[in-house]
Amino acid sequence: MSELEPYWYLASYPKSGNTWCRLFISELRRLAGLDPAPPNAAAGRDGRHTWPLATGSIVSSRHWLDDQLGIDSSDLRWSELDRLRGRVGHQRALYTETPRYHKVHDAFTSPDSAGQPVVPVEGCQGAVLLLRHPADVAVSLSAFFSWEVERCVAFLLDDQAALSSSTDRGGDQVRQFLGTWAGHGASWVDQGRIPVLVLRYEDLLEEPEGQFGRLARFLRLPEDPALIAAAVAQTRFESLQAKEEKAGGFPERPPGCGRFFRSGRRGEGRERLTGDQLRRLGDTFAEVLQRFGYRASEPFRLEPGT
Amino acid sequence: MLELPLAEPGGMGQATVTVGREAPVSWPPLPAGPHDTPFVQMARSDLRLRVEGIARFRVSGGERIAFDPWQGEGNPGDLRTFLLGSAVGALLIQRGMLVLHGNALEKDGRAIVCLGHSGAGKSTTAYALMQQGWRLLADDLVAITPEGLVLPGIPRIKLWHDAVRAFGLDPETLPPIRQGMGKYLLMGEGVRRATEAVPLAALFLLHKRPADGEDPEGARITRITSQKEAALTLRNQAFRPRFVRGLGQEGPNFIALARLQKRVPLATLPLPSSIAAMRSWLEAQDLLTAAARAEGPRPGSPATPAPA
Repeated sequence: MSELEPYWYLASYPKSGNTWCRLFISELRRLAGLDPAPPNAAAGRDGRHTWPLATGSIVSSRHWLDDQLGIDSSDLRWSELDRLRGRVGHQRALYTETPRYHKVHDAFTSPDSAGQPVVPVEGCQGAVLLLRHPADVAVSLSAFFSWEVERCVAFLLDDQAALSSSTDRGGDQVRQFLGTWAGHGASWVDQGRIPVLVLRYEDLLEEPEGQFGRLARFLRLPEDPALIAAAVAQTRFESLQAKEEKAGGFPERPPGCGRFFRSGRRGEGRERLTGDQLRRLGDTFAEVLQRFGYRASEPFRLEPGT
Repeated sequence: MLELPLAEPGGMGQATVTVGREAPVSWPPLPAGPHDTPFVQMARSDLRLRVEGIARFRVSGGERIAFDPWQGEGNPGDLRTFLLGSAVGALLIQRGMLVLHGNALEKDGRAIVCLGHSGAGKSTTAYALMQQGWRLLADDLVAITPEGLVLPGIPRIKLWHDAVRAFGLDPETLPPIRQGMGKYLLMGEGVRRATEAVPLAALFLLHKRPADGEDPEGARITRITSQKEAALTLRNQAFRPRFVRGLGQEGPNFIALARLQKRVPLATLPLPSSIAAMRSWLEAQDLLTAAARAEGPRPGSPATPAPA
């Protein structure tokens, strides 16, 4: 039945290109004629008309969890919720009709999930793990959260880091445990439950057609190079920036954050972080950086994509 | 054993509802239903809900809620939290009621219903309005009769710690919804309650304005004029639409929603994001008439906000 159709995860530490990939997927599907009409075209303010971001709900969505659990998930403690989340099943939320490439920022497991995945894996076809150099993530986080860079560096290094973790107020997403930047990436690569495709943000910038082509193949989307190239062109950073300017915003931009599509460059971490901050990230994450092809001696020179 | 003030849809008398402990071995097995999840099983007039660590519930025939605590006697507060939420909601759906996820307030013998996703500010709005002379009809789940009357529900409001503080209340003096949680129950004398069913005057879809939003259009109560948009909005604000579908109530529910949509104006309520600003803004609105008076969206900008 339709509720059991295949789905994928787009997993990433925040500010690592997740939205870029979702926009690419939407554009590719549109160009390939896979999504004839945008769903619920009548609903939504200008943002949703301009931004074809209907790629399935984020895995930490309360709306979806409440629907699957049959209760108000805010009546549960975070620890109770993390033990349940991986077992909530694999049905889409009732009345959602979008393709299913679900964004997820959670690490694959959390200290509360008793070694079990925090996300459902049954029926999941795989996860795309998007990686970006932590120094660049720090700069991007700083603009997004309106935090000092130092606070962002400390966040990346914090083995208890989480999003939406307040127990004092409500919200439309549940807590997402991240852990350290390195622990987060490793949690997705080292789980043996679902296939993983690792894509580096830097490679997406360097060689977009080839890397987005790999993404399309993994997601069983059309791989025609002309289509890929067209979708890449439509979702280039400059195009997205211009679109954000023209549309007067982007729906996922938080208050206080100037622009969602801010710079998109790589290497900003080296310019903006202090020597000490770069060293702390480099030393603490040495092993995982090397594993993902970020050279310790020249952190922003990349090994060829794997 | 538990007070369940549920009025009858027609006669306004007390409904016969029994609530009791039962061993699930006595519950007839249910065939797998197309809308079941690992935690919810449903057939027409029979729903099973598994809240791990708390209890198993069976809600049947629109008149009986049975529960089996997960361990021993269970924690009464924990049991009540889920019983008065999902179990009572399922029961009302079984009774053919239109059940919306939101809250209802009464003033001058008429009601408004506030709808919105988690975190949109429903409970904070209810509390703020209560301080401005409104009386609480229902929080969390709102039952509407086929005649368009809003029924008085469970007289309590759930407020998060930050909201409790912002209203100048002391969290230490309030019972948490469950032990050790930062969400509290306001009930008893803390709640000005309405006890009679009253006609519904307006439906509001709540959302918070962006903290740095300067667009006056975004701060305007906007009537949702598109029939399709109104229908989708109301459908999406139903209390547990999965229950409605799994319990075989989707048809009657659809008709009830259509009737409601025809009879009652629906508008957005763009709340300022700070509680202090929200209180003074709400004070300046005449919510009983605001939805009916509100203009529709300007061309090219639909009324409802995009989800965060």
